[in-house]
Amino acid sequence: MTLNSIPLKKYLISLVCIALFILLNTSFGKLPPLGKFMDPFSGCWQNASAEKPSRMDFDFAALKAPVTVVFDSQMVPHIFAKNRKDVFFMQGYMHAYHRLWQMDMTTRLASGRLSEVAGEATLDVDRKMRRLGMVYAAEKSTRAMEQDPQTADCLQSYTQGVNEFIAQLSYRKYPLEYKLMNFMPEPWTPLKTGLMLKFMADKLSGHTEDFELTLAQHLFSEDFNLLYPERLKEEYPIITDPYVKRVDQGPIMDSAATSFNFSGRNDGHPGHSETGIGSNNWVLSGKKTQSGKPILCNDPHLPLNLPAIWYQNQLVTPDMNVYGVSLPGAPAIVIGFTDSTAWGFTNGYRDVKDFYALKYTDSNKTQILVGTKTETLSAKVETINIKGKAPYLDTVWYSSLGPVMYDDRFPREGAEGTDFAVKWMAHRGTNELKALLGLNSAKNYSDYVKAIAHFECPHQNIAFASASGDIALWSQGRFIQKEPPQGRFILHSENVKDLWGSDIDQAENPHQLNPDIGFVYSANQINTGPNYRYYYTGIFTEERAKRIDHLLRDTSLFTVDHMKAMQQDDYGQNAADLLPFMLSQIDSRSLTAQEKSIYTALSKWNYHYQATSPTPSYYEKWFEVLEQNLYDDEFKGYGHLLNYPRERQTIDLLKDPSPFRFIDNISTPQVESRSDLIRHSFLNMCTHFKSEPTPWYRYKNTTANHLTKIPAFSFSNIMINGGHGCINAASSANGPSWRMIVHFTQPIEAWGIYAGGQNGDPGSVHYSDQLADWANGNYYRIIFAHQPEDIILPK
Amino acid sequence: MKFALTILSIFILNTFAEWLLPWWILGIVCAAVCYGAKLSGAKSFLSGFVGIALSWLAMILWKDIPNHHTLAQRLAEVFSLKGNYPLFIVLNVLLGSLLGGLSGLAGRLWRS
Repeated sequence: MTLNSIPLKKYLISLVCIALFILLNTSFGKLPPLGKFMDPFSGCWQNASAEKPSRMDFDFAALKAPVTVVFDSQMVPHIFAKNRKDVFFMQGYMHAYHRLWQMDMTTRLASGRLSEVAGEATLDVDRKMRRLGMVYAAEKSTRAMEQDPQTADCLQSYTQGVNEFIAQLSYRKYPLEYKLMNFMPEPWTPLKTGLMLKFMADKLSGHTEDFELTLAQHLFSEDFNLLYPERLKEEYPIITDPYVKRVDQGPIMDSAATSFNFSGRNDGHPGHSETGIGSNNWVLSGKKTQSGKPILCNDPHLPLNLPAIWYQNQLVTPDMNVYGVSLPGAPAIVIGFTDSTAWGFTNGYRDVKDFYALKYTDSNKTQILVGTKTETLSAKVETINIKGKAPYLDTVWYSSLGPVMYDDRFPREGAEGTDFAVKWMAHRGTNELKALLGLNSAKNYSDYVKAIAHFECPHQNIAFASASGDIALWSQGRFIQKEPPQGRFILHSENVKDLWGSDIDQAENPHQLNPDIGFVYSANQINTGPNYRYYYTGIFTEERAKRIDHLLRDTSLFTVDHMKAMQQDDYGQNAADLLPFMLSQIDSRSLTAQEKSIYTALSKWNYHYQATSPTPSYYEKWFEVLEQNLYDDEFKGYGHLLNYPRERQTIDLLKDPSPFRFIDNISTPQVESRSDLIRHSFLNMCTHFKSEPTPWYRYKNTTANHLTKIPAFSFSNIMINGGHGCINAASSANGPSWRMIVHFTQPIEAWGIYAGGQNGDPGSVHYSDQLADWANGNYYRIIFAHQPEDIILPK
Repeated sequence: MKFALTILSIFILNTFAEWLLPWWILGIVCAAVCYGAKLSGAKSFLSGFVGIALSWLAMILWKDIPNHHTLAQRLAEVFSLKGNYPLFIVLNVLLGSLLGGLSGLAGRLWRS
């Protein structure tokens, strides 16, 4: 029998073959085209990279002169160029080389274009970003960057560099996630850099409590100030200089705040104020250090995403030499040091974002009252493309009070029926890149002050040190003159007093230069003492500040090793301030054996949040249950439309013996006392740990999540000390995203590490190679080179 | 001898072709070589199967070993293999081999 005895067979087999190839070249649902993806020659296996330290010389046509890049053992590119344009071109090239997909996704997120590649699931996120006016804001800042000759050059070169890399890409070299999600890179634009910077502005200044506080004031008017005071009893202001006390305290909130309907109900637990995105920085002057030279430390707390939010690089030209971390997607170094200065950021948290309930003057909702004047809204139609579906069209109305973020078609949960515009400092066409460029070549304090004048939004506490011995801290940003409590609650478009007034002169921003005490620091606490001239509000936290203040007041002379230990400090200030009181309310004689063992562990605890100890889990769970037992009965039905009072305020309220009606559980007939509440919560907590004690790191579950949240590309249950209220603020999703220590010896010694790795590709050995050392509190000595030969490559 | 030569040709030709052209070129390589080799049906299938297996496995190992299986382990999790990367590699190679085998057979069938 010959092969072709069945004539149909050849057609059949060929058809099966062709069908298989077509099938395996097609993407279904979330699956990539499997054949194309698994093909070892162009698919996923090409992402199994194993980069080694090396030196590369580049001579692209777009460069004015050849550029040398040396990768050290962490794959940090040290870029040596003959001029600024070339150095930013190569910085763009390097960002794309290691982080292209991350740059793409972050700017897609910021501009409301995720659904284009991720499908309908992200449509609401996209709508929210468009309605927040992110693109509108980025366009304005991009124009500002393009109008200033210095930033225009930098931005243009950076964009060219990114595109030089993209132009030579084939499918084979795409970052892994492009292959998995089955889309392709598109050219970079200056606007994308604008979006990247606004993305950070949103991360850092986008969180407000206007809705939650307005509702709370409406519900608990007489107790409101007890629950949500503007200032805590115990504060550690960043700037302690005596200020002139303001004369006019202004009016207290008028009734207008509650004039719209809170329609919403929610059965969950209340939320927490955003405090996870914090940071620490401190600077010691020479008189506090063993070497007699200043030391600057900074650890910004940000989401622990992978690819990491930061990228390390060194930029060297004949007139600039700067090392530090940058944001992939934007040129320049954000946090770092030069041969003569160093600087670091913490978030300022001053409120620069307000919502206006709109008063329409016509039934078509095309005109609003702004103060006493009628204003016509203008419409912008947003087209949101969705993978596998027809585009979604959304109309966003713009006013002088900003875009109308919430309306009938996109209602605000809990305040349906009222339209709100959002007015935000980030909507202005500010040019933070100019500030960064200034810092990147700052030689001294006056260069630093000149540079940061351009840092307008987000509000940042910018610490500074110089080789010449100056230390300083500016609480820097652009602010509006407000009257109390303007901006704390929902504002009203027709209320003249609610409108934003004039800008505050930046020279009046809180600042300090070479204070007698020999150090400056910030940790997201309140900016100034009560006598500061201008009213402001914000989400400030004091516990880390209290701890830093305590540690830095030590009179011994500090070394870099002390600074490393301090950045790893896992002392829980809140626990230290509250736990002794809580334990005093428990009668240990009535406890079961398991309860007693927990009680004993807590009694012996030194308040250090050690990863493997179960004791911090006991305290944290106890406080969590206590918070719920204390507030959830009175807050019932509003759930996450409300926030719990700040943790330190709850601590004060618990310790203060004066009557506080929230102590009582209103769903029981009897009246509970403080000790009832605390004991009850203790027993609830013990039940939770009945089966087994949970070590702290498992309880908090510090996770470095890949941007897609694919578990295989993420790391959970990272074994790291500390927690959300510690200096080492490694909480579940946020943490010290970059730890840097700069010591102005001759030559400079500097250390740095971040939670991730230089190469953003999950297939790379440098994807997460710093993570374990970061969690263990190790540091890498930074190579601050002056020429390519300074970096010794392994043979 | 002819059988071994066919496998070797597929291995070499495919390795070059796939480096330069889209992945589905492997089907054409196997079909064309088997069309020319005029082996039996079973041997045609096998030469496509083994030729592609060698070609794919070589490329995978060349990338995977210096990478310390970093990518392989992560993908073996993505594809629900609990990080069992040798199994992932075997399945991956099997996918290419089956396509190679079928294409080889199809090519042979067109030769009367």
